[in-house]
Amino acid sequence: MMTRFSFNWIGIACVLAVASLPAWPFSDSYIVAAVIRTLIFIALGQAWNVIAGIGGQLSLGHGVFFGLGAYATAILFNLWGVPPWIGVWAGMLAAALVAVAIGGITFRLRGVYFALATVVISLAFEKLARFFVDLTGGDAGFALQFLGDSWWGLQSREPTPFLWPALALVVGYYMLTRWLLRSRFGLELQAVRDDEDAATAAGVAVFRTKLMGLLLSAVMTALVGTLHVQFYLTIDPGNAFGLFQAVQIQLPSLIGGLGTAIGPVLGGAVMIIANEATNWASSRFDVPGLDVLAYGGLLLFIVIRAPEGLSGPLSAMLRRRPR
Amino acid sequence: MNLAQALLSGLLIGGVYGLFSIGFSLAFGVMRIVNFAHGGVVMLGMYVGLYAFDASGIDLLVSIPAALIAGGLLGATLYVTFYARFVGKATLQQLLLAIALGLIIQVLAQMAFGPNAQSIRSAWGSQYLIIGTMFASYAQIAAFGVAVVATLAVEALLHGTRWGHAVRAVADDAEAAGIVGLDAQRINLGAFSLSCALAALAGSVLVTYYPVSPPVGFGLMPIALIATVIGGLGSVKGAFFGGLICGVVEQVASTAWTPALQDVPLYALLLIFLAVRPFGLFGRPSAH
Amino acid sequence: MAAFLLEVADVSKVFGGLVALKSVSFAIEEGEVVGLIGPNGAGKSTLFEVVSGGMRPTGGTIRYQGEDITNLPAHLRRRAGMSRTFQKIRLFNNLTVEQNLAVAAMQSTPAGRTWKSEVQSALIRLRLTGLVDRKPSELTLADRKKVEIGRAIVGHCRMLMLDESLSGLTRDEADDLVGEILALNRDLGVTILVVEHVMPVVMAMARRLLVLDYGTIIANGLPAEVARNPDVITAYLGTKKGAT
Ligand SMILES: Nc1ncnc2c1ncn2[C@@H]1O[C@H](COP(=O)(O)OP(=O)(O)OP(=O)(O)O)[C@@H](O)[C@H]1O
Ligand SMILES: [Mg+2]
Repeated sequence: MMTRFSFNWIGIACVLAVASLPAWPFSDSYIVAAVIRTLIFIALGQAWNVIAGIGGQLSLGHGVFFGLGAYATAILFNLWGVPPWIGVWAGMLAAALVAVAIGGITFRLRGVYFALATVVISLAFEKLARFFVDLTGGDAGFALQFLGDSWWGLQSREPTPFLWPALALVVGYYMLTRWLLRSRFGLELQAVRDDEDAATAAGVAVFRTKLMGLLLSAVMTALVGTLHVQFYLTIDPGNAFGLFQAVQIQLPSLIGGLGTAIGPVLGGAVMIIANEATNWASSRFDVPGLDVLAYGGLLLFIVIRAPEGLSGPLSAMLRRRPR
Repeated sequence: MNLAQALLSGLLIGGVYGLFSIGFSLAFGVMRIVNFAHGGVVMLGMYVGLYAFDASGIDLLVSIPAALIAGGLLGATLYVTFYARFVGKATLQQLLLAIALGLIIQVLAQMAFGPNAQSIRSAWGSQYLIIGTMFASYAQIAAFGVAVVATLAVEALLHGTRWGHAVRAVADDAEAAGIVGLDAQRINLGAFSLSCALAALAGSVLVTYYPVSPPVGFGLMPIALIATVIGGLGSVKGAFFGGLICGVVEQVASTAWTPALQDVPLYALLLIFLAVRPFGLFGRPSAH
Repeated sequence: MAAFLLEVADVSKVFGGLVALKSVSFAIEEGEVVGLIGPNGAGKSTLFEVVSGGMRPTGGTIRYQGEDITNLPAHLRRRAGMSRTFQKIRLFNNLTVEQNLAVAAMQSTPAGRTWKSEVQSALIRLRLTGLVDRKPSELTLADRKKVEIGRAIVGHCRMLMLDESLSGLTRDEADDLVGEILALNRDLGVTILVVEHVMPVVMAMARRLLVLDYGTIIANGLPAEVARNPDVITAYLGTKKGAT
């Protein structure tokens, strides 16, 4: 009781600290931008966690939904002047349609088929994005037309205005995940994750549950894609659909704890520190690929040494405390 | 290029696709390991072929044993250090482990061999056999020959030897095989080493006419996945035919449409198979 | 003639070349307790799969509450009150005991009740109330079996199919569980079909026995009659296993 109570207060304190960051004496736009990057990263992890962590369906191509959100918003804006607050819906719709297609085909099957299909579909999107240069800018990517500070285009010269929406997204996704873990839909997802046959025997519509889980996760991911492109003002095929992006999306939950609400938040925060360190090191020692090596090594370490992520030992510690 | 030429080229490259897909399918069929690092081993095999030829002028057909041994040893090491604990179920952890290993192999290769694409000028690689209006390089023909022979050898090994029967027994039901007294771990070690040896072999013949660079490894994975699903996850001869189909579809698409999107019909093919015949050409429909 | 709750007519199931069920027919009335016995590999679990919808039969029809359900998806059979357990226990290992039951209760809460009250009454009935927050891995085998039965009976349950629920239990635990199962039948009128290897137990529980051998029903009748049936005796002596 005591611990849950203090745990919540720590959370609220963290949120307030981040929200008031621009007002802090040492803070500058570099730090604010780094925090926004972290928040975007965390939100992606939270979205992936819904289908992979809670629903147990191994999506290895979540970049597709992220990329669709980003590209749809950017293309609509540049080519037809549609503002992002309308474009975001188009992105989510596109992600939802692709999710239904992938899920509709593979969720009647068991095992690795879904994972394989997601890999292959993300590669297909990468190829297509590289090919249709007129629409996507090809390999070089796509730069959002810059309007300066603009409410219409949801753009800003300074990073600070993105801090609050990004924070709101992370807090919102956190609350959603907490709710999901106890709700009927979330329990169904977890039952399916643990044992599909047993879930069926309990009366759960397994196919429908997996499909709805993917749909929710895809839409959540696409929304982050829109935020990403508004903030970075650019997107390219590798960044959107590539395998490396897909791995990055998975890391926060894996590090923090798969299928938990706090996992992706903790993991994302840890990740970004690792990320900054490798960036620094690879520029310092001039070894290209050091970041990939670090991610690979980190992944390896988690899978073998800490399959439960950080939140496992942490929650065990918190549980032991009251005695 | 005409259609007949596309079919011929497709078939020839498809043979090599088939060769590296059978290794991938074998690891899945026996141990349920989805080895995303398989392409990385193919890529290392390509470097073995490249360096054997460039450094010592060893003929490529002679470097084949070197590739087999190197691949087999690497496979055994990977199995013992990493994969052994993930046998039996393709879990998220296992898939991620394989991806991590694939990424690490790629970066290490980049550090060792540099990021640029390299190719060999083999003695017979640039000579062409002309048949009517069609042509094929001797290197391609030799690679296809190696692929067919290797596939037949693996089939014979699995169906004609005691060891092969043991492997298939473990694949069917590791628990039951254990009761009969088969040492599943040892058999898996053998099967995984074989899988990687085949990958390296495929790489060493592929390099005779296909330039190698570190990202080639992951680049080849979609083909292995698609060929394996088309053939039937876990089926060796299925993976070979799947590879042939991938080669042909790719070359025809490249001729009739555009080389940049030659793989896209393959992705569509995969989805069609998943929707209509998920157990593939040679797989068995499951009880469900 | 009384209306049957379950009617299995001419059902067969073939795996590749192996005929696991060969033209199986029988019917069960509402409120009966029927035992299904037979040597190892006779096809008992396969019959459960086919009846509960885990597998489609190769041929034949299954009727439940008078309706043809041969092609009804398995989860809808559960929601219609047809529940089953698995020979090898299958629980949701990352959910608590309470959540394990809640998932099922939410799918088929009878009108006018809430899933919470359904879960509560099932927990009380099976005396699991002290374990609500535990995970399955923290439970004894007997308790895990109870949780699986709880998941099967919670919400709307009219017919319960138990696949060797007693195996692996001590004598006392088994007696206890038999008591619970019979109470379900007595108090709630749940129709029960049980697969069990331990003959004395099944003889005591069931009021009627079906005997399956090599995928065919070779006997169907009162326990005492079945025990004297020469075909049944050969089937069991032929394998030596099972009959104790
Ligand atoms: N999914 C399956 N695929 C192929 N064969 C199967 C499958 N399930 C069962 N069988 C086979 O069908 C036959 C009947 O098996 P089943 O499990 O129904 O027997 P059982 O009566 O439940 O035996 P036990 O008492 O050992 O539980 C066996 O020969 C078994 O090997
Ligand atoms: Mg059985």
